[in-house]
Amino acid sequence: MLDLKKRILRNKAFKILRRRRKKKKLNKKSTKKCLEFKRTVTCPRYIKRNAEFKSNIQKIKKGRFVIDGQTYDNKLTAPPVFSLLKNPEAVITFINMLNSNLKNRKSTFVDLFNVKFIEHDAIVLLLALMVLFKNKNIKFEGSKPNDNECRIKLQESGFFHYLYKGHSFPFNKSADNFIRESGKLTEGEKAQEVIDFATERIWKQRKLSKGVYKILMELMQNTHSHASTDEEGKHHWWLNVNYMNDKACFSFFDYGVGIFTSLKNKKNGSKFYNALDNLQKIFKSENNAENLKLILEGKLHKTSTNKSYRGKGLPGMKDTLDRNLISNLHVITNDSYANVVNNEYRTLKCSLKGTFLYWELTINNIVHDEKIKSN
Amino acid sequence: MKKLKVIEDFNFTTGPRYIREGANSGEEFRINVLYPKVKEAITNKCVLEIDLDGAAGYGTSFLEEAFGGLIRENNLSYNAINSHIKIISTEEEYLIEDIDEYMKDAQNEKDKSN
Repeated sequence: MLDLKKRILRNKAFKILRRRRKKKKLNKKSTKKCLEFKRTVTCPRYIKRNAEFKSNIQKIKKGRFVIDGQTYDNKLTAPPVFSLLKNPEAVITFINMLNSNLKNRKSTFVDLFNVKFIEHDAIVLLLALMVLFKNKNIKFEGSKPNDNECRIKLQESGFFHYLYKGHSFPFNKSADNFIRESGKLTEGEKAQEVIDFATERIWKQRKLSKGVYKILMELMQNTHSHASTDEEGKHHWWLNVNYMNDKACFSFFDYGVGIFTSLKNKKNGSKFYNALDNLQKIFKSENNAENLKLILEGKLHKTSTNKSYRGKGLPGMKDTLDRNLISNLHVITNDSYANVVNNEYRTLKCSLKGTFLYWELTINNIVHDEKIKSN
Repeated sequence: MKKLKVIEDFNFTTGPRYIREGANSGEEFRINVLYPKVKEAITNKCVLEIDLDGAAGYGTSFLEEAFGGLIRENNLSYNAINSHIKIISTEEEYLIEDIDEYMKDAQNEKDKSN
């Protein structure tokens, strides 16, 4: 009898002890949660979320998405081959949907989990849009690629450093990737900064790359003057330079209206007013891909002004390629894709709102030694 | 012979066309450096040697505004400029011909509008 009483008392004591332990555990958890919450203020969860964390946490609720307890208006999944050059149509479709969410102020979860191949051209495209989400205070989150190589590439690209501009993501100056966001002006010093970055890696010393400098000045100026149909200096440009396999790969992008939309909207009095129609009449071109080829060959300038283009604009960029100042030039604008070196011009099934250029600087391109630098 | 070296008398990094578009523009170069020196050369009947070498590079708008602008904005004639300047560009030889065309085009436009 006494034993039974003792046993009951002991059980009660254990129960109390268990309850106390449970309470303690709960307290610990909530403090941890508070700390985590504090951390999210300075360090966005976007980068903390890892691959395992992402699975089994999403469900649809009244047409919206609940992911990790957060509700989003939309979830967009990036294509497995996330490269504008290798998979232009899928990437442009994804970017257009993201752009539409931005326009409609829809909170968005960007799902990169299934990305198996990622290139810096697509990273800078995504970055340019996510910065707009951030600037407009539209809620966004995302998952990192499950693929290890892709995840490391995204991290090392400086994507998070430029997106959050915080000390939590310092930019590694010795890294082989460099992203430059512009102001709204044309700035030679910014152009030279990326050229120094590229030449120091290729030739192990600073060199002058007149071709790259000229292209950058033309592109910055075009973004300032032509990227918007109604206002000068409305759009920013983004530039990514990545050094790999003894070459520097340049990706330049502006979310303007694109070359063909810009040409179609030229007002009466402009030297390019009706230029596209005239070009199509004279050369019987049937689509924008053929028009892009004619523009790069300087035909648009010739028909519109009756003069040679003298190195200006897009034909001037093709000149730098022909003069071996750069290599492997690609242009994507609206629904046209051009691989200039391979003379491959094609019409895409979708349209990119803006202009994208890619080119490379290799050890075989012509550069000059620096003589003096005044500043 | 007078000399003008872009990297010494102006800047290593040249900019866009107009001052409002960014630093070290063609307009700024023309107003502050090129026009005074070209005018001086014409007045003193000597030749101004303009050395483009050593700079980071040149956008077409910069060169067009600087040299074409001498005719459009500063009312100099193509012939007067052409006989008093000599352009040096060993690193980018094609720029000499380009600049000549920019000036000819500006003169033609001016002649048409007069």
